[in-house]
Amino acid sequence: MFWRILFDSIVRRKLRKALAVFAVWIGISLVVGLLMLSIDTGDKMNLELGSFGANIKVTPVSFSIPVTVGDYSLNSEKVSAYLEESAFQKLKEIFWRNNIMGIVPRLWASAQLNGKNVPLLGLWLEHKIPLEGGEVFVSGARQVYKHWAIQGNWPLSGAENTGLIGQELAGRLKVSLGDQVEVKTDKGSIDLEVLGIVSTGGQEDSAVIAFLETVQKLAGLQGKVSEADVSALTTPENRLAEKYRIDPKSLTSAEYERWYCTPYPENIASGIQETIPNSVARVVRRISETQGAVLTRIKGLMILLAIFTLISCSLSIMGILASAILDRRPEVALLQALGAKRTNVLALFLVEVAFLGILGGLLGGITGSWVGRGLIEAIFGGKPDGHLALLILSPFLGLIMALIGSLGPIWKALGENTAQVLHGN
Amino acid sequence: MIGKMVRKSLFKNIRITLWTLVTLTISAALITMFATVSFDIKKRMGNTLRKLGPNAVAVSRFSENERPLNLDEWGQFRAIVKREGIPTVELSFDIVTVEGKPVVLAMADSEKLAQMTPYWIVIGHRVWKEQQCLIGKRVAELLKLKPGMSITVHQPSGAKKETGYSIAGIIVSGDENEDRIFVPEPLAETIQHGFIYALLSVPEGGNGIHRLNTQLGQVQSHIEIKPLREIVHGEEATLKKVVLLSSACLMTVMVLTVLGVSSALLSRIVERRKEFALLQAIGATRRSVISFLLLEGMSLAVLASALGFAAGTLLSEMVVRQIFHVSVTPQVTALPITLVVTLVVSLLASSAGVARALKMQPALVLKGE
Repeated sequence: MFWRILFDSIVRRKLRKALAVFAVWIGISLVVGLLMLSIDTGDKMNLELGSFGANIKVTPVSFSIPVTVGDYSLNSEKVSAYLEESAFQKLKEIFWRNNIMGIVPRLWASAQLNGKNVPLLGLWLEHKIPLEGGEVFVSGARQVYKHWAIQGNWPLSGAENTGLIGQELAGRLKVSLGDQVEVKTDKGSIDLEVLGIVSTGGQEDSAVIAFLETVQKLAGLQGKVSEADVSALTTPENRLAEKYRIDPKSLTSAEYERWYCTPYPENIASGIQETIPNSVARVVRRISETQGAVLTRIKGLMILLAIFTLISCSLSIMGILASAILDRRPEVALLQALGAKRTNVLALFLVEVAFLGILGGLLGGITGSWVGRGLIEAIFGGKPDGHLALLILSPFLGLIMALIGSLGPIWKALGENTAQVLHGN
Repeated sequence: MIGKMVRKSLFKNIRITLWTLVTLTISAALITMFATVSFDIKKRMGNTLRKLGPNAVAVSRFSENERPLNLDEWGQFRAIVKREGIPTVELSFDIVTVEGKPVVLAMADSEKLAQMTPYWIVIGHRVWKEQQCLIGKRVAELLKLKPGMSITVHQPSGAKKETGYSIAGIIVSGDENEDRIFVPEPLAETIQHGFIYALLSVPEGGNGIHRLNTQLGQVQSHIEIKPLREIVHGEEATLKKVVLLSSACLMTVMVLTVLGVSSALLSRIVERRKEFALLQAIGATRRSVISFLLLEGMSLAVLASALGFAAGTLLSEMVVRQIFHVSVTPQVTALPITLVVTLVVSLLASSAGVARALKMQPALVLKGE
């Protein structure tokens, strides 16, 4: 009997039921979409923070103090220590391999251009590192130095005799785009086509930049690099990291385990240092602190905004369902007048609302994933992660919201005077 | 007449009026909050980023070899940045020897430097006094120095050839500052040659830097302000994403609010079917019923927008204080947005209600069918 009445109730007044489902559907779609965006924001924003450039600098162990100020070397130090280029390939095999987003080994040398002594910089422009499983990790200046302003084009892989020239040097030596310049060292020379003029705000502005292999050959330093920039996904330093920094021994074994498995900048730097022989990996604090501050605030903001959106959604769904239930007061009164118990009427309406909520939630989950995907792609431009949990959760979310939204109005309708309601008062 | 009817109707159905007003106010408050946060967030995030360190460096266009140091040019620079209220710290450099090893000696105002480099970790004391110095981590490691120890700096170019300092702290910065010694020295008194630059935290990133360079160009200064490109670029990219994120939230909340407000107003009309039937039965024209309902909806929307604007501004203050630890700037533009959205939705929902109310047969409704 109960199920027959329920079935009839659902089948009748299809438009009204469709409207209730539609309200839950729209509400849940937006909530799921925004939740997807909130969940993905941390990771996507962290990737986005790569636009600040490298946050770890790797240099050879040195027994002398570099004497440089800004772009100017006041006392040019003769570099005698180098790192092995091949060791940098291994960074994609270490414990933190998934956190290493970009590597740029660099070799500084001296050369002559138009009879003037100029710094020569060789680096990975777009280097391919084969990974386990046949995938390829592409890393180099193009991926890491997103802040470089290039007038012209980046040199393409394979075009060894093409390169870039720093803006300041190009102005000083009157070199233009497309010019062929002869770069000469003690070990050889090359005719380099200037494909781009680069402005970096750093030492590169007064240097000639070419493929690492080219510079290694010109400097007679095959397989060697003088430094490297690494861009890594990190977790902002918190109290635990600070506690470790002040006194590593003060950590309990559980805290140490948590610290060890968290990608704090210092942890990743330490992993890099262990992998590259005779190296010192330093966290560039100006970058890592900025990244940490941005990430902490954005995560906090998204959580708060998601909470308020959930409140807003709950209120909307509650309002719509309340309106639908209020419209059906005579039906409630009639059932009671025919002898139905309050619990029976309550159960009948709640089961009906639950069905509508689950249906709306299910549809909302599907379209919400699509909305979230669209939002993530529009804002971050990357491929969103899968969120199966949200899809599974959405019917329950629809159910809870529908029940919360309708319980009050149903209870109110049950409390009204049956005769008066049926009389139309 | 209609105005009087609306007033009486709102007070007569006080329970329904209050419920509708609460729903509308909550919706308006959420719109105000999201709009305020969306508009204010760029500024707040920008200010936060500007407190994390410099984003530009001021240097002479000429190297020491090309042209000797001219302190007058720095005077013009100082006047401009002071007028613009831009946090700045000037550093002058010299090559000195400590224990026979060449090291870069940086001279700067200790408090200004501390404000400009909050990202440094300093083992020991952050702000140092006269005859005290901060030393970079690499210098400390290579010279085996610790806080509290003393060093003698041999400064061939200075007025005083030898100066003793006690070490206040060791700097961990991950950059070239780890290779330097920082001492407090007034610039002009000691530096007649060497190298000077200034670190600046310029609001508005690239645009702010361009504006400063234009002003320096107007006074024909040879000082140039160069952006720290990775910082400026990173900040611009971050702020763009933050604005997009908050706009997405604002749009979502607007759609949800439209749903909520419409349903609240519709249910208000549904509950009062008899009232409208009675109005029609005693001779009210369709036009007057429409005007009555629309005016009622508009009155509620205007009141809810005002209350919602106040509540929403308070909510956004809570959100911004929680995240950025500063007060929000109330956004006047959030008021018209809230008002327009609430009014338009109210009018649309009221119109739907009116259409529904006018479809009813007064006789049947009054009979209770």
